[in-house]
Amino acid sequence: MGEEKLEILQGTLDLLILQVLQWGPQHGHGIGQSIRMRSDELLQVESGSLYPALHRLGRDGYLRSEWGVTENNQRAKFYSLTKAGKQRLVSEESKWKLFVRTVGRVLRSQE
Amino acid sequence: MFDLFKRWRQRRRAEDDDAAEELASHLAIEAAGQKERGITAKEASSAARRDLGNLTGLREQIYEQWRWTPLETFAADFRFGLRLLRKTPVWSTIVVTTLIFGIALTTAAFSLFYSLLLQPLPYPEGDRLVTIWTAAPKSGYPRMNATPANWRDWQEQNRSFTGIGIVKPSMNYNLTGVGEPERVRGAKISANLLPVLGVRPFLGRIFTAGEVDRDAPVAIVGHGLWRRRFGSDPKIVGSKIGLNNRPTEVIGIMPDGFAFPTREFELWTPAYIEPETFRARMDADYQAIARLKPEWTLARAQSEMSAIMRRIASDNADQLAWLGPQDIALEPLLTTTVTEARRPLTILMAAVFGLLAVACLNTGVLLSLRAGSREREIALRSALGAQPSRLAYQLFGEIVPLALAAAVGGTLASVVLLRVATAYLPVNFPRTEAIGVHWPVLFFALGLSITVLLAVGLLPALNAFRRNENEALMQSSRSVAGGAGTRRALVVAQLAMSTVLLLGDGLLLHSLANLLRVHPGFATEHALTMHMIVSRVKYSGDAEAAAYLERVVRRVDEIPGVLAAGIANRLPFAGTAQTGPIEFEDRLELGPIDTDWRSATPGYFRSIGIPLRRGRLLSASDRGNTLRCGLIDDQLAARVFGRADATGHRFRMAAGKFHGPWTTVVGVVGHIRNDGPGSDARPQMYLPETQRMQDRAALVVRTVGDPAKFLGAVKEAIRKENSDQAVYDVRSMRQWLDYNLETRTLMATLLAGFGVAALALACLGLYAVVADRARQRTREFGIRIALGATGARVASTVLGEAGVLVLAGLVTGLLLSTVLLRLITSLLFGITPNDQVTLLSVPVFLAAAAFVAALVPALRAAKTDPAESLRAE
Repeated sequence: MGEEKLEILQGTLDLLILQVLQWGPQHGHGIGQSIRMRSDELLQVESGSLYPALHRLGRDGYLRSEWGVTENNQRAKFYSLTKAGKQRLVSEESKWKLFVRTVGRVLRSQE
Repeated sequence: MFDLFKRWRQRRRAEDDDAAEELASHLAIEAAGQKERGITAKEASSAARRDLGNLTGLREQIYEQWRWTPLETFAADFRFGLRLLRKTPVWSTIVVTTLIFGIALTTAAFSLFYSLLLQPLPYPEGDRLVTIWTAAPKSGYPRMNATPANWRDWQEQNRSFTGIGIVKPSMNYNLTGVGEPERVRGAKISANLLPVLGVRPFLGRIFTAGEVDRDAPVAIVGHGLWRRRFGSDPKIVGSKIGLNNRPTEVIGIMPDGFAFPTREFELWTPAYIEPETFRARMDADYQAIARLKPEWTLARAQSEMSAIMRRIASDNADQLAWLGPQDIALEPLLTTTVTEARRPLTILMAAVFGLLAVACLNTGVLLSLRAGSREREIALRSALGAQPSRLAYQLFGEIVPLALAAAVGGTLASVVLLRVATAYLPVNFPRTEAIGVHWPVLFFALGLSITVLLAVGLLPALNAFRRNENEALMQSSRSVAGGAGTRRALVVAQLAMSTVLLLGDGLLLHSLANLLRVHPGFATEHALTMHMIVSRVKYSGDAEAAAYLERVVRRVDEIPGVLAAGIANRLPFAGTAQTGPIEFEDRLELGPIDTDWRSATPGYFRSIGIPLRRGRLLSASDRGNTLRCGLIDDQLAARVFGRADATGHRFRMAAGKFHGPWTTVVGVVGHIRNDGPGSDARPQMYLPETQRMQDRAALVVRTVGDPAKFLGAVKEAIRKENSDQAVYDVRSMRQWLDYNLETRTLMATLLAGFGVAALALACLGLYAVVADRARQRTREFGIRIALGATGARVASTVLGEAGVLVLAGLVTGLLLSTVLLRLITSLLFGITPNDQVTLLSVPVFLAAAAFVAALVPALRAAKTDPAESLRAE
């Protein structure tokens, strides 16, 4: 693991969580796994920051939660997007794309 | 309330358990995943634990997420505040006590103010009741009572009122029969007065018009009298009681709480008016009370009544022209009732608010100081990311237990205070039966507490906003805590407020001293006074009644130790009554001169100490059938006759068409201030009782030594002459004079108390601020002392700083006073608001107190041990 891990900012974590849940309900552990896998282990998701983020999103009304059972018969709390959550995902995604474009433009102009 | 709270707590706990379970499930899944790599279960679970990190911290974080309800944070701040208070019991006690004191005082004062001045009269639609005054400004009577003749004409001609009733308030009755003879204050009322007011007796009935017209011996008894004298026996209605020896039938009992015109009146009798009084348009002794018709406004009624009065004046010009142009003044009955109390109460309220302001400022200073001592803690929290608003809310929330204790304690204390205060109110204060705690007062107390909370909590909270973290963290001895400037301003404000209060009180005290020094024209010591009403049933003829009074005086004279005894119909300082114009035969061009008319026995002048200037006093040889003679005072004699001898000239009473008999001046006596030490309104004229008999008799007895010792003997002497004679209002002359000044004395005393309390608080604040500042400069002082400065130099530095504050406070206070104290000019006697004595003594007094307050920290600074101070941080 010689490559540097990229640190995640809070706002970005929210976006990633929402994105992951687009594909269906998932429990906290699973969400963390998904993000890690999809970034080829580059994105560090501390479990310690994941759960507060999940609860915060739940409090803000973007996620709803429900106790369920995993494939391994483990009891876990499953999170899913609410309608507001879906809208939030769309808006955050477009904001992110704009952010990337703008920063990129600034960086390119320096070349 | 508590139930909701409990359920809230339970829910939060359930959420926390849920989160714990969620994290546990995460651990289980992670451990299972780890195990797939082939390590032991135990290692797997510890690896999972390591991966997750601080479990408790996570739970807290999750708990925090759901916590963002203001209620919960507030509850935590509240508990914290409570802990803080418990940690510093002395400080807490001082602050809470100060606030309780301020709130209790203000609430009690407002309760008085409201009960007496703002509360509506206890009559149905009491705001529609008005008093009808006649105004005849040209003749020197800006306000006059109504004559029966005017009343009759008003009733016939008006369209504004549903009814006009009249009442003659000053009737004194000897109540005889069962038990001791007792003087009862009664009022004569017209048949329609009670209906106009809108009250009925709760037992029995009101007078009929017929009963009033023929002066029937009937009476309505007040609730208090019924309870006290007749044992609340309902059978008293219909039976007879003895009023001035006239058997009178009781026809009704008034309900409890009915106190008209004031609570001193316990009996009401029909106002029988002789036809001659109507014809002569005399006897302006009645108060006219009317009820406005529903749609009529006061202004409309006023203009109608003015027009009516003009018509009456022109229709009866021959009788009324002497009064000059007359008009009507309508006044709401509430205003009439409370006029006298208005000014003292307003001033009282202002002073109390001033004291409350000082108490709040003081608490603000103390709180600010405490917040200052927690600077580092707050700066640290701020550096760690706490929002300034969050800090402000927290500091604010910490104030709440303080303010709550003050609010509750203050409201309870105010109830007690009110009860105590009511007992000490001057007897003649109006509407004292209405004093109590009412809903508006409770709301006021609540509003006051909230305002106090805001005022007191705002300061440290504001400081928290303007915090500069670096400076606070460093806390060098030179660093000035963010609130210091504001604190100094607060102390200056307190000192200024105390100055105003003390100056006001100083002026009142000086006025009081001036009044006490005034020589009223008669002797103020070694005299006993008491009052009697002569029963005209027992002594029906004037000559008989006068002879009775003479016999009484003779018996009293015979008591060993009595130097002189005499009777007049009114004592000095008994209010303005029995006044009217007189004219002199040889000086008719001067016109009628307003004088006090008095009837007296010969011994009166010696007993009360009025000197004889010329001629002779009244003597026993002046009888009903001898030359009509009288005395005038020297002021009147000088005015009318100059240096010439007034004796031998004749005068008579002259009011409009009414003329008394020509009376010869046989002597000139000293002038007295009849209305009070503060005013010199009119000269006096005296006639012998044998020639002008008056039912009311004030006995004055000059004694050797303490007059109180003679009370028993005098009463016994009177009883021997007439066992039915009730005696009332017994006082030594000194007590009588003090009674006259009662309200003033009370106000001056109260204001003195407030001023001193405010000063004490201000000095406390000054001490706290100065001590804090000195403590901050300990290092500097240590260095200076080490470098050779004397303790005195260091002490004077501290005192100098305090001195600046005191000076600023004094100057501000003096400036404020020039504006505010103008308001009490009408209460001052013999001085102006710029009285030098007060303006000099108060600042000195204040500076001295402040000096003492600043001395302690100054002395402590002087004793700074350089080595220790340099060691300390």
